[in-house]
Amino acid sequence: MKQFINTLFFILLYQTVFSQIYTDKENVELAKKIKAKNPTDDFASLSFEETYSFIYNKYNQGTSKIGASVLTKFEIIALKSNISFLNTEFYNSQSAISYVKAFDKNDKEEYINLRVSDYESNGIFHSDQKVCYFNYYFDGSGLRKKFETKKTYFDIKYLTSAYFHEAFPIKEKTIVFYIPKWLNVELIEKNFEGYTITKEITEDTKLKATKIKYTLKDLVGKTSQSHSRGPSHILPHIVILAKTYYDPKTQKDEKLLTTTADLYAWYHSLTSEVKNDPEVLKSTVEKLIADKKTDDEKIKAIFYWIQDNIRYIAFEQGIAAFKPEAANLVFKNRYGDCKGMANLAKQMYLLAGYDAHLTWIGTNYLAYDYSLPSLMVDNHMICTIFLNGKKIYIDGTETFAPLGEYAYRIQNRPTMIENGENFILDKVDSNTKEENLIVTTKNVKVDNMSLSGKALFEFNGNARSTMLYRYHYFKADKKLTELENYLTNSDANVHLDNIKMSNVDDRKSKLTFEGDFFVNNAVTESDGNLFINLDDERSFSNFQFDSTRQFDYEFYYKIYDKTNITLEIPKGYKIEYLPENVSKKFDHFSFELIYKQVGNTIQYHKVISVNNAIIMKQEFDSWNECIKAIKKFYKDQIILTNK
Amino acid sequence: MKTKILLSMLFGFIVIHLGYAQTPSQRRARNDKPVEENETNKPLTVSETRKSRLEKQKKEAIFSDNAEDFQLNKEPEQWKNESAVILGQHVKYSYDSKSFECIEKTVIRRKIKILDKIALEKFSQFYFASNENTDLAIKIIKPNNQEVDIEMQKAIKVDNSSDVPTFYKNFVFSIDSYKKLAVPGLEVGDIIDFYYLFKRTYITAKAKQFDFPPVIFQLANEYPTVNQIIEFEVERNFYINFISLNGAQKIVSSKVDRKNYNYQLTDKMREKKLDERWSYPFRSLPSIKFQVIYSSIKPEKSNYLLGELGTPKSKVTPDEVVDKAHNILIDYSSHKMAKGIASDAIASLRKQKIDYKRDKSKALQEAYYFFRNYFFINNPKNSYSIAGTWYQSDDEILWYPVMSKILEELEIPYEVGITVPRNVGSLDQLILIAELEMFYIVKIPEGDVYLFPFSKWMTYGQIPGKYESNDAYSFKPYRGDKNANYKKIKIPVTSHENNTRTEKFNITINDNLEDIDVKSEAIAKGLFKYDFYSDVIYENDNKEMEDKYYKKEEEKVRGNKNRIAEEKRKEEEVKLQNQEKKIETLQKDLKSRGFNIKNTADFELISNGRMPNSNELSFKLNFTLSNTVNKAGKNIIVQIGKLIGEQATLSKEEQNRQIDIYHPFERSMINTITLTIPEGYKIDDVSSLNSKYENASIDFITYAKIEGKTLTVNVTKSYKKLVDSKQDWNLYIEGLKKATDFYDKKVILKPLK
Repeated sequence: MKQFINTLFFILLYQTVFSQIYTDKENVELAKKIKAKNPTDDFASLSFEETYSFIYNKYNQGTSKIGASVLTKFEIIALKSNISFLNTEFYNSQSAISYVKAFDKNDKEEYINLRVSDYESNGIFHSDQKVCYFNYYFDGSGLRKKFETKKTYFDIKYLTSAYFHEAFPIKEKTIVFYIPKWLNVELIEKNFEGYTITKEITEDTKLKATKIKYTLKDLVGKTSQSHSRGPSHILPHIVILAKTYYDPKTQKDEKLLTTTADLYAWYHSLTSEVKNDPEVLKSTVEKLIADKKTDDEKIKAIFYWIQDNIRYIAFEQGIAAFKPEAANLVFKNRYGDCKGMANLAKQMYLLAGYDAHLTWIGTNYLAYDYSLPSLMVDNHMICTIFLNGKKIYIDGTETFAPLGEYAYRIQNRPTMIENGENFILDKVDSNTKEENLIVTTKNVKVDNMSLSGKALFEFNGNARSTMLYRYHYFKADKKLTELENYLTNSDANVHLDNIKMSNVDDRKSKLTFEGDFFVNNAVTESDGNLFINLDDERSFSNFQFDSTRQFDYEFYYKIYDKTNITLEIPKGYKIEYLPENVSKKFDHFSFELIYKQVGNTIQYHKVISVNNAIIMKQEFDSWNECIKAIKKFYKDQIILTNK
Repeated sequence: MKTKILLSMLFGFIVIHLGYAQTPSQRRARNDKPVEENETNKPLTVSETRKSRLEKQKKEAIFSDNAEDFQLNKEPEQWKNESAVILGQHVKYSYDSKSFECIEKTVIRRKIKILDKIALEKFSQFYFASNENTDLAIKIIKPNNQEVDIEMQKAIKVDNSSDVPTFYKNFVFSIDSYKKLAVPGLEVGDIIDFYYLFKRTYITAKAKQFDFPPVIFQLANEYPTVNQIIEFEVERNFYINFISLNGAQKIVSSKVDRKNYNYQLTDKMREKKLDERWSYPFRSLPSIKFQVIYSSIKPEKSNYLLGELGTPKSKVTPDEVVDKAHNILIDYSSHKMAKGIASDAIASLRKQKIDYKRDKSKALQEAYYFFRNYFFINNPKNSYSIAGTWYQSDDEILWYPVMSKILEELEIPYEVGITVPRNVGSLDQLILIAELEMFYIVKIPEGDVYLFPFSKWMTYGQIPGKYESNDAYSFKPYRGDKNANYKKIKIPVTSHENNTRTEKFNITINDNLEDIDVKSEAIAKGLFKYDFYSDVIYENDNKEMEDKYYKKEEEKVRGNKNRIAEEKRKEEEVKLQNQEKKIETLQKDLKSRGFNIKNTADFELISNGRMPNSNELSFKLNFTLSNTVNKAGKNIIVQIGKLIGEQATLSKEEQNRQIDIYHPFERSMINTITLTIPEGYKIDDVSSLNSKYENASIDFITYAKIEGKTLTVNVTKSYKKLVDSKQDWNLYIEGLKKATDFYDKKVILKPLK
């Protein structure tokens, strides 16, 4: 028995891990060539084909009458030795992985060790998202392996797009659609500019379908880089809109999601099913607005209560991904996701006598608007109040947002506002960079090879909300230390003592921190000269984009930072040298760093702006040119000399 | 045992293989109406309602127990600015036995007041171990004293235990099955009151002795604690060893019944855990350690340090310790492989033509390395390592008898030493057999050599840092039961001159007058070598260097030529990849020390420091640094101080030291920086780079000179004591300040006029 188990075990192990030991010179050379072009990648695909087919499910209802399947065939080549290739396939309650297969060099199916796990995506406490994955071990570079997977969508509306890029480089990617004659599918090509994507349309008489084949060659591996914009902004892809189908049962064309109204109708059907019990909220609402006189005060009271008391904890299980939680449950739990919070806000405002509506919105992660009748257009829900002919948006997931000031992620984004059987399309207001102004003001003098004086930090707009969040989430017993560390960039030489601050519970006013400021070792003395480094922050000095940065960079909000430092020239000294000023202005960003003598002081002014929060990839060269210039500026020091 | 492991792995393979896709029911026809309600808000079924009712009854019973210790609902004034405060905590350890098993049950009841948003976030997404041996109940107490029971049925299974925050993992011993619960209605100002039970059952099959896992912990918790009780319920036929350390309260007998003894310790107003650099909390802060043992053998015949039934043993005599160590070694000596390995070691001496009768020192050293080679390189057990069945404990069981047999063969006298690792405790506080560490003191004409069970890196005669300067008992090995004469000794300590890290940086300012190119060489000696080994020497390097030393011919691989060539190619490829990995690791290390690395290349191992013919570990590395050179007009300012790497900086809180200072070992960090002054520039004065600071605990000495076109700066920082009293912290404050000041030093290169 023991021997049998041992043998079986080693057979399994052998099959899993050591199934390939041979390769030929050609493949080794090929791997080398690909690696030279893609030095950070460990794998590449020589061919990658995705085939989309559509299925008629006669027993289903509504949009789930039509399903779809995606057959993926790809070949991987290892670019290194001793590495494990991880393949992941995601599915949820609306889809399934039908199979995953690996093939040996004779195209014979071989064993792979598949695993399944819940997938916890960032910020979601629990969802039905699952990942089916396997690791395939390659012990030498140049080894190749073919894989095949099949995924099924039970309902066509959940199949929304097809992307070309994968996590590894691909020599040739093809995306094929077989569109049957009985189905009306619109394929919308997005971000194709700058890529050579060929498109072939042929008729497959056997399948009675139109075959549309897209091909793209030499794709780079897509890496996950922080501050990247959502993929729909930056990667070429195809939007799949299944609009109508011919139903042999009814003998006529039936609608799927043909128009935005169809999309709204489905959303509205879900929100109508929510069973709210506003009575539970009543006393709280009454208490909140009891002593408030104006609409502004009343709306704020409810909005800020939600921010302070309801935590964001999201459950996206099945239909819960689209249907809001009942307001009374969110209220009782003191947590909810965006839909639950929006619904709670709506119910509370209705109780307070306001005209409140649920509102769907796609954050700036998405590149789409409501001209597309698709589930991928939105990923967030807020509440809209109609007041005196104006719309006020209430985003319950915010934590320190003042009324009427919107987070960058929803600024300028299209909204679909619930309005009974109809809907209203609108857009969230955007702010200007000037509204996010951060001003740092320092008045210093030379104090025994150090700089000492006073410093004042002011935060406005989105910068204020972010700073307030940060402040409130510093641990209570370490708040001041953590605040000092933040304001001094944790530089051991820089200190900010006796910090005084404005009201940190005031969301709307300018947020300020001021204190006694000290920079140790900022002055070097040599031969009667003082060498002074005045800017201890040196902001953006390491903010260069190198060749590994693949996509546009997006800040958390529009940047407008000003620094003003005044240095008192010590008695008996005069200016020997001031670094050369920098002034770089481009369409979307600018840098200005200036020294000037004013009386017995040196005044330093720095203004950095990023107008719309995004540095596009095509702007990287100009941006890097600015950073190079400011780096040079920061490295240059003031020289004061004996009079 | 191995069969069992293989069976469970096989089972794992099969289960995982079958479980990947959706079940047929999941593939059933669907419509676009809601297919699933959110699980968390689904109405409860009849059986769930019944379960819920039972749970409620159970909860009421639990929370009413010890009610008087959990009365407090308000945090003390002094802790109102804390993130959270533990108002009450009761931890109860119960030890029980049945005919074939021993059972360990731990119950924690904790009442925590939430005072800020961080604590709220932490407790509102509550993770807990969950299997048939655990239980958890939670209630919330609102500021108006209203109590809200939390329904545990709504907890969700966590598939991947790596998603569980460390805080929640620290609660329990290794359980891989977790659940999480979004705690409803929790707000800042609320109290979360929970009861947590975990049970472990050990199949003992009527063994004569069984030891429950030893436990050591500090009385301080993550948050300040107002009241806490630690209670032990021990079956009457179990022994308990217990000691309170560093001012922790003593345990007192609280209750005796027909079946059990109960003891408890009460602690009040305990500040939160303290985390100071260079400290061993168990040596300084109030802590307790204990272990419960079942033994049907008389205490004097047992290998455990047993006291009397019904009385916690909190002191052991040196005689007892020596006696137990002797017994353990006698048990180990019967290891069936010991004699064979020792014979092989002696045979290898013959093969190396070492006259082991005369040159005993050389012979012992070579035999030691042969044994190490056997263990880590040629051990047939290594072939199993792929299945993860390599047990560290086997090493020690084998190490002692093999070493003693080698010593006997070589006719070298030796003594057995006994000590306790410095981070765990001191010899006079030894109370558990698990703390006891044995070693050999070998008597050769050149002097005593201390041999400890080895790791793959340990060199002959190396005393690990955690044993240095420790008190120890030593005794001559003896046969039979007669009591040995022991003596108390002190294990030698290596000085800061023996344990050094020298970094030689040869720097040139780049043509762009912005970056600097560094040709570096790092040399580690003594205990400092262990900081570097795993970064620069990999398994295959070890094998290669040892095969070379033992002149082992490369195994002839039989079979297909192409296959052999392919294996060779892969091996070479792995070597190259490893080289890249080493560079990457060293680059990360330099970055973590504050160096602004631009790129790194050309790693070369000069000396491995782990073979008999190599004393030091050294390697070369070239890299480019940015942000180290500034300008002021035509002057170049080199931040020369930055080239010694970031120095320990004390925060404001760290200025006041609360506990004694423990270093891993005495050590010196030596930096030699050689700067080639660029053409057309001069340095006028380097006097500010010369400094000398020395005290009993720390030295910081710098010396700079210019010779021709070269500036050389030597910097030595030494920690000269292994242990220091907190009263001497001022010496550190001053010494460290000198170092941080030097870190900011600059030299100005002026253009030649």
